[in-house]
Amino acid sequence: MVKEVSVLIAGEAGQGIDSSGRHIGEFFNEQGLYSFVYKDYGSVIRGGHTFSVIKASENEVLAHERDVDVVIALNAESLEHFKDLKKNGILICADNCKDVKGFRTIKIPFSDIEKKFGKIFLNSACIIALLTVMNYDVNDYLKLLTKRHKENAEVSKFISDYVEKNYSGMIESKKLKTSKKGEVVYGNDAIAMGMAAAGLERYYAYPMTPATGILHYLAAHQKEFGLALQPENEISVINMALGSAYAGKISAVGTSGGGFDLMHEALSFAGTAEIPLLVINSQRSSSSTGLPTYSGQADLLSSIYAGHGEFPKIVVAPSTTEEAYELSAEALKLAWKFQIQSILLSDKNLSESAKTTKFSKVDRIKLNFAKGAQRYKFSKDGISPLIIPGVKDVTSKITSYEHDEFGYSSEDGPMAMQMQEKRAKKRDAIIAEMKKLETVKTYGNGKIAVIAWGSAVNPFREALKYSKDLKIIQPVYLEPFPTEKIIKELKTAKAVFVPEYNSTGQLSEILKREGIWKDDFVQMLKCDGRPFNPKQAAIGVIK
Amino acid sequence: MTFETKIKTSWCPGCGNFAILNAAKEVFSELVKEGMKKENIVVVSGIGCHGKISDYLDLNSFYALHGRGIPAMTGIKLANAKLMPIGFFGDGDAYAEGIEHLIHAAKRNSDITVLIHNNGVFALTTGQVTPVSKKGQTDHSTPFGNPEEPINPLALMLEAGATFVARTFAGNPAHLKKMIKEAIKHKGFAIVDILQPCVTYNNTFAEYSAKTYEMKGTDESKAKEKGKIPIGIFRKINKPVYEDTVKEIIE
Repeated sequence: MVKEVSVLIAGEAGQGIDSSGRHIGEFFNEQGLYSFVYKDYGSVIRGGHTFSVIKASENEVLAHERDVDVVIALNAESLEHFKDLKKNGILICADNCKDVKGFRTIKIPFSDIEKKFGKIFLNSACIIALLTVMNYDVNDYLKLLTKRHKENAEVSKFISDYVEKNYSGMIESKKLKTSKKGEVVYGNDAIAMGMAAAGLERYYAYPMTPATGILHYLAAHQKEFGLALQPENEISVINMALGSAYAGKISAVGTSGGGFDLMHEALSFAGTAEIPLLVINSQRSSSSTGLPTYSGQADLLSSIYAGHGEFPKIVVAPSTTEEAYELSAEALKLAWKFQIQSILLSDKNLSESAKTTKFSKVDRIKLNFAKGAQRYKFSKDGISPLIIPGVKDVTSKITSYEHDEFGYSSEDGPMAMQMQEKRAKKRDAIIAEMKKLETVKTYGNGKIAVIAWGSAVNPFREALKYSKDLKIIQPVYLEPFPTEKIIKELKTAKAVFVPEYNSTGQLSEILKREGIWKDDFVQMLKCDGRPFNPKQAAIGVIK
Repeated sequence: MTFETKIKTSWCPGCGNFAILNAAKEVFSELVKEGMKKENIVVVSGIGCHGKISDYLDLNSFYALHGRGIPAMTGIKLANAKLMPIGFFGDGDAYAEGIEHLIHAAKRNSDITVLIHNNGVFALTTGQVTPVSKKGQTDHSTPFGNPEEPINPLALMLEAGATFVARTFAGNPAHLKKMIKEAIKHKGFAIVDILQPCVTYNNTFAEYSAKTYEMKGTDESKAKEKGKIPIGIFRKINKPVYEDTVKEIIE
């Protein structure tokens, strides 16, 4: 029997739900468990309902379940989450909350504590009660807190003693504890760390949920890697990055759907001018401003086909923090190797969830700059020597126009054809390179195949815990699409499901384009911004 | 140094762009003689008749998207402080499509040079009004007269925080050359609005020849003068530049 616990903490925005989720996740991680932290919040800073779900287990956790063992309710509205409690679950709240029948309830004497000790944080008080019931030493929790969140040790002891005295029957006899497995890392931080490890030198971004965390992380770590700057808009963002990349610096930009749309023209320019760039598009839900703080996968086709005209690009979609780290590094490396644009598709579920993570090592990009003036010299694989300005006897001319080998604008018909063929050849070279890369991953060996990409992979990998009949097939690279590998993996499938977080089935469209799709394939589309629930996912594909 | 390239010019005979190209070549030649390294010059241009200057100069060049050359210049400077991004943009390019970049580059005092080929018209697209076209100007897209008042780009740049603001006239080659050189030598954001007749769609040569006069000294208040057109430097001040300020964090 796997030992695990799920905790839901809910309140209104401004009550510290986000930091509480992180702290609980980090606490369990310190105890050697695998943590997973999911946060559900609206596009607000104060007011509005918000909650986080923390799942900790002896096994790796990739997604949370909606039914939980403990609900911490920081306000009256949050008590409604008792509906998420498993049988025999525990509800923790302040002593002024109304009774919810049928559950074990721990009421914190909040007003008494404040009278005795002055103002305290209800979220921390409830977490201390939780950890006391779980038989942990609350001092281990206090050690994790930053100064801003630090609770008085005396108050903690008072709460701990109170719980031990009044709820002694509920205290677990044994605590879950083992050796530490890694660090709790958020998806956005993993993307940032992966790029930095690969040698990122310049990062530009305009704030946009759910990609903003990447900018925050890199801005705080500029001394270690280079510059992270916030220009006036996404158009400026990508054009600055192209200026930096032209001048030889490894550059990237990050945004979400609307900002990504603003970048499309420059993406086409980068494709034509062959300026290497990594673009991160962390998807939100729906179209337009949509559901800014919820997750979606509706930008798959617009990413693959981003930008006017035709130019080769790479689209890659990590599902976990480990993949986010490795693939952001790999996508950056490929951008420079082929002088193309890589698009890394994240989403809110990946970007803003955290899990116990252990990174593998990634290679640092090594750049070799050439001499001369033929920035677009023809070659067998379409890749020209990289020449940059600022080097003696070098003239580096790039242009948004169609051009000749020297970068002079050209409207000559044969030259236009040759130059477009040159760029198309790079796509063939990329396809050859991809044979060496892990472009498709599989999990499980059942007869029911689930083809999923990005964060949609995770609930189905979790569902493997409920059913051995499943086989998850994950196209990690979506452009160029790893068609042959997918077909090979589907050979033993008796049924095929294609779950996605959008309303039209964009991966299905690609499967159709590639001739993989069969009439009996079943789409599972979810576009409410919330992730699949692993148990329901399992039931959905098994029945 | 001639900076000649194999590309033949395609501007109309008598176009003000020739004067700007020639003045720029002379300035580059002088600067290289004075010690600037040729390989550190990066010509950046937008899309429009003016933009072709990238093809006409044997120098590093970044022939950008319409309106988007200015952030590219800041990106180039942020990548390598030794590089000297010198931008050539049309009034359509810089004052219409890309005006937000112009304002923000001035605001942050990005260490770049912006030279505006201001001919008051979109010429490459065969004649439409720009943000500096006069009210009532008739063009293909405004056959009944331009319904909008023009902006005053220099007043706007002064307000945005540009540290070097000047105006010159393509019909006054000596002044033109002097202004371009001063702008390039200025550390910080420098803009020169170059009044440039378009012989085909907006021939202002006679008007500018009659109305322009060379200012004495530096006078910001002259930027709003109406009637006569002062040319010269309206502001030249020293302030910390953006690229140095942000790099201090990491160096």
